[in-house]
Amino acid sequence: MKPLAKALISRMPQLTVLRSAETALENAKRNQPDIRLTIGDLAAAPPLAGHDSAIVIAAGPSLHRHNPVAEIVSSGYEGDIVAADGALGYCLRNGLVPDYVVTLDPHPTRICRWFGDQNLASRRDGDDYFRRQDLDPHLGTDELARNQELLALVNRHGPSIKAVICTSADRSVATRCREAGMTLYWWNPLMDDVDRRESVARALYRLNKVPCMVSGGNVGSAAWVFTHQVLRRPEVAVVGMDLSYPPGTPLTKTQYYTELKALFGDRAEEAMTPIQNPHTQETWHADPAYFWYRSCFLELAAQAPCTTFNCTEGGVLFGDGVEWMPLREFLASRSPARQET
Amino acid sequence: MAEFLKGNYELPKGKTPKPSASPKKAKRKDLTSEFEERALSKLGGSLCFVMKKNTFVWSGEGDEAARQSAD
Repeated sequence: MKPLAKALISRMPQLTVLRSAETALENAKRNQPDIRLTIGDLAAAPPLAGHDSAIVIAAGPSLHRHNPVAEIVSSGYEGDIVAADGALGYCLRNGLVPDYVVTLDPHPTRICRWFGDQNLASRRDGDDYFRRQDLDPHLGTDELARNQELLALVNRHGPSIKAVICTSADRSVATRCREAGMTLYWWNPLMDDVDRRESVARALYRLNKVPCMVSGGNVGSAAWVFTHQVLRRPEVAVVGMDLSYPPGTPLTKTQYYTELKALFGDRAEEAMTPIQNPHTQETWHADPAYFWYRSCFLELAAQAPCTTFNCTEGGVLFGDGVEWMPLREFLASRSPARQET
Repeated sequence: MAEFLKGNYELPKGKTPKPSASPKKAKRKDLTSEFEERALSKLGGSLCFVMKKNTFVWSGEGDEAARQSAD
């Protein structure tokens, strides 16, 4: 790992606090009047018999390299599907309506686009994030038309989807989810040590009495935590959990390119860490945030009460606490269609 | 971190900055550090992450023991 990458990764927790904590708190206060149901209301319901497993669909590039949703749909899998917000469009376009969609990022304008942004045509903020991102490349071209398509899909299927929404999310996301007919279940981010008297999480809980849940720093990890903690599934498969960029991805197509270039100029590439996956033999590249997410996930997986199967078939999430397994193999013993063959 | 950051000007050769003795220079340095932190913060993750005592979900004092994940 290059010294720049190492220096940035060591500061990730601090930089994340600087980036997100203040906005998350403000959003929690703004969302306060709209809170009705929480993840506690979902936890109260007992797990359905025979539904021991669930699949979390994160929004990594492997979704678009392997198309796992096609595999899931053709298998007739009946377990819960929990999608990260960035994966919602991909799921719906491919005929899979998730049971839950999880969202948490406090960004004021970007997150709403995962649900279809009613105000996109009038937005003139010059943000090119969606043209560079690889979470859902489909949205990065012909943006207005693709956004209209997504609006229609989410409006059609919204009533069937439960939104698992963090109080840190911008109010526009809650508004959009409600407009689409989703039922919202709220959670607070567990963002600091609740044993400390000045704990922000404790203060949030006092404000809104909403359960505080560990997020792992990103929505894909939060979706996985939700699945084993709230839905209480003993087996959780994840797809699209790459936490990195595929071989050959130009730096310009990574999420933090603009910021890295502005800060480090020609040395921006030194912020990336190559990691060889022993299962695929491919070398993927993690930026400091992804590397940190990976470390967080592995730390959580070691303590989780579930068996975690990484069925992504790409990326860099491997290690103790995570079982690497092709999706087809996971589905083979857990889907009616596959069991009949 | 300062050694990695792209600068926007070069110091004249042969001249080294003197240790800051005046409050004005100290304040400028604090502002620079703050600017640097704010710029770097754009690289931060989506949300803060904390994990303590196997507690994935916390719902107030009374529920803490009930919400700890079983081994």
